[in-house]
Amino acid sequence: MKTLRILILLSIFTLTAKAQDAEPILNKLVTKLEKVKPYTVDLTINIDVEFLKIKERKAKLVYNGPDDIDINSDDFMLMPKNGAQMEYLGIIKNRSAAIYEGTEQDSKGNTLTKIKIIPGKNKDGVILANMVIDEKKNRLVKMKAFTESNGSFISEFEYGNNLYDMPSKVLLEFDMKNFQIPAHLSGDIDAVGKKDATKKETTTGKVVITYTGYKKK
Amino acid sequence: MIKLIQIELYKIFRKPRTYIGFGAIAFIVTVVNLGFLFEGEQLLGFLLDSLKDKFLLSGNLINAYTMTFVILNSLWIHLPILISITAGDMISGEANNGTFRLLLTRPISRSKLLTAKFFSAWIYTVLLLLFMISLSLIMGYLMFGVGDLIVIKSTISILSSDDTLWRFGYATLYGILSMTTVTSLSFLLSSLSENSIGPIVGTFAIIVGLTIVSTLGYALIGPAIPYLFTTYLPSWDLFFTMELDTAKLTHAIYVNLAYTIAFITFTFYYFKNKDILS
Amino acid sequence: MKKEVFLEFDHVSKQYKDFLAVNDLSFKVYEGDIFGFLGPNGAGKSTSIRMTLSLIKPTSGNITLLGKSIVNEREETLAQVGALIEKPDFYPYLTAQKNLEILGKISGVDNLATKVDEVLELVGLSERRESKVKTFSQGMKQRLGIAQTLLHDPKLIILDEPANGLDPQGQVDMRELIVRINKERGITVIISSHILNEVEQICNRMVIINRGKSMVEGNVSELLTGSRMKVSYVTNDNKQTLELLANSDFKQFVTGIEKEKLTLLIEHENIPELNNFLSNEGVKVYSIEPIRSLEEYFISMTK
Repeated sequence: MKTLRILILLSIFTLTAKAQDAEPILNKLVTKLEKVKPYTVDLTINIDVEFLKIKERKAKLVYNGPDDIDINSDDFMLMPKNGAQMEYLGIIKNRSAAIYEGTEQDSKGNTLTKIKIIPGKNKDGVILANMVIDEKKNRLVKMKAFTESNGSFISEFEYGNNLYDMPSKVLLEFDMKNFQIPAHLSGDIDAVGKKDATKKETTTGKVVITYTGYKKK
Repeated sequence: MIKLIQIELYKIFRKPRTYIGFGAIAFIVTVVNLGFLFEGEQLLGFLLDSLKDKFLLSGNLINAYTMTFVILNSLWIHLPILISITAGDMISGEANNGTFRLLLTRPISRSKLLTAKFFSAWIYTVLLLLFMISLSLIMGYLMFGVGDLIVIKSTISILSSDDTLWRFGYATLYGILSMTTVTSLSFLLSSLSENSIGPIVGTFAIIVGLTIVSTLGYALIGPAIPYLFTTYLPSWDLFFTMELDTAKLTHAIYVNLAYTIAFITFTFYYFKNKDILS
Repeated sequence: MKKEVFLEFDHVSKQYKDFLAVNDLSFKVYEGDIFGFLGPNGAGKSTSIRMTLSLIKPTSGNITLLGKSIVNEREETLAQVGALIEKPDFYPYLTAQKNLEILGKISGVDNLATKVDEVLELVGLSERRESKVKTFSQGMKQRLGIAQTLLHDPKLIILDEPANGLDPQGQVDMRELIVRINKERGITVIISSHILNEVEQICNRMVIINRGKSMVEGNVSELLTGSRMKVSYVTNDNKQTLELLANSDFKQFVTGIEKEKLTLLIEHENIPELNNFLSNEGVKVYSIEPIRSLEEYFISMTK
């Protein structure tokens, strides 16, 4: 009986120990991100979606705080709903559990830490996020998040020598519904009566956002 | 020749029916603009549904360019009817009026007269097209301003506003070409008829008929479809793809030219030898 | 003095699909003629005139104007001809003046404005020059039709049934106008008609065609003398006069009473004798009117 109790305690300890391994890493990242003061940055957005033909778009982002971000553009602009901004800060801060999942090496041989986070409050509909963090540089490198109703998305972050150590580039990938439209509505006479059998129900969307010219506000 | 064209144009623009075309276009343009003013967001929202899941959309997609593009979409069905009202009347109208007897007993060759008539009808066609495009652009600009153009076909293209005007320029030139084919068809039917209803109905029936047959009778006339001029009436929109399909455009231009030349040649041949009994 | 042949039909035929409209037709019009082109409806008059104006191409034969072929030298010959065919149709939405200007421009008329003034004055339409043709009466259109034939100073004008749709006074005016044009301007005139009377009053020469063929061609007065003509008399008592004549040597000429007029079919040279007879019998003659119809002329010719 005693052995059993010890065993249970041990396993709880192990779990807690792992959790404790994740916690400081996350807390350190949060501390860094919370120090970020309002800034502006220029965005270049490249969208690669099978059914969407759009040239590179330019926009200006104004950051006043994690929940107060404005994006302005003269042109028509599409901004991914998930993964491009600092929403991971909210996910980390509101975590109900964080599980340390070991390490991996990137292409340059850097050791990266893998952490699984279960958000507490249903932040942005995210129910699970797998994060890869560069512990040494205190940066989020990659995140794969699963949402309740809107599929999953992957964000990869690249960094340079930026103000507040903000990312220079974000690469996004997500699944989305394919575009179907009755030909008579589009006026595409060529397509009338022809059914595109190769067209899948879903397609992968990719977006690359480049951030340049960070400035304090 | 210029004198003859002036006379024909004078006659065209003194006829009340000439203004039906301009009136109808002003009406269509106004209605589409108002429609977009009230329902545009909703319609675009519906079309962009699959994007809205994943993207926040911002900016002005309902603008002069989008309006003009939508209105140009009516080009291939509305404009031929309006063109045939005038072009279809050029020859048959004189027969119907009894004025052929005055005109063709003047010391001037039938070919010259026919050339003047064709060019006048063509000038009317060009004016009608330019009126439609400029009115769309101006009214759209006043109501919505300019912005990026969204082209929704089997794919969605968003063309930057500074990448748009040249496309409208070329689309206008192409529109002139394809409407010249329509004009020459109407002109041909006009030479065969002694009243102007025939050519109007005939032009419309041929265009709609061929379009329907192309759509529904694919199995039947499939191989012929790439060689029908009606296939290329809406091809002005080939200028609104990110990368131009030059091969298809060239083919479209050749088909239009071939039909135009055939229609005109037949008209001249037939009319030169026609016994005028009206 | 031998006059120059102005227009010549030389064995001209026009075959429509299953109908021979003009059949080997030959005749000549001389310079200065007022030439009557006569025939019942459907005789081929219209087709012949349209062939003269190259609106219709002949199937065979030649038509020459001042020696030039109408088919081969279309523009040159048309420059010498003015024509009013069938109804005088104009652009109804344009004014009289504008209609003339357009036609004059196409014909390449110099000093067009002066010319338009002149011909409008001639046909008496100067005051209505600014009115749209759609407001014109038939008579005014007919006069405008004559005006347009004169715009380019033609040497020949062809008028198709010019008295059609005109009231009696209008018909008289039209005849006077045609004679004036012929005399004052030296223009050769061809008048097509199915009314012999009309031709008789102003033409010097004529051809009569029937079923596309020439029946007779020549001098009007020569052709009509010797033939019987229908004459109507209005007397103090038509019935009594009818009885009187029925019992006289003239009984073979009496045809009856039509529209309260006593009618006779009688040779030209017998009319003075008849008048003497009536006068001697105390009949008061108020009017004598020839009512010659083409049909009756045909009948008399074949008798």
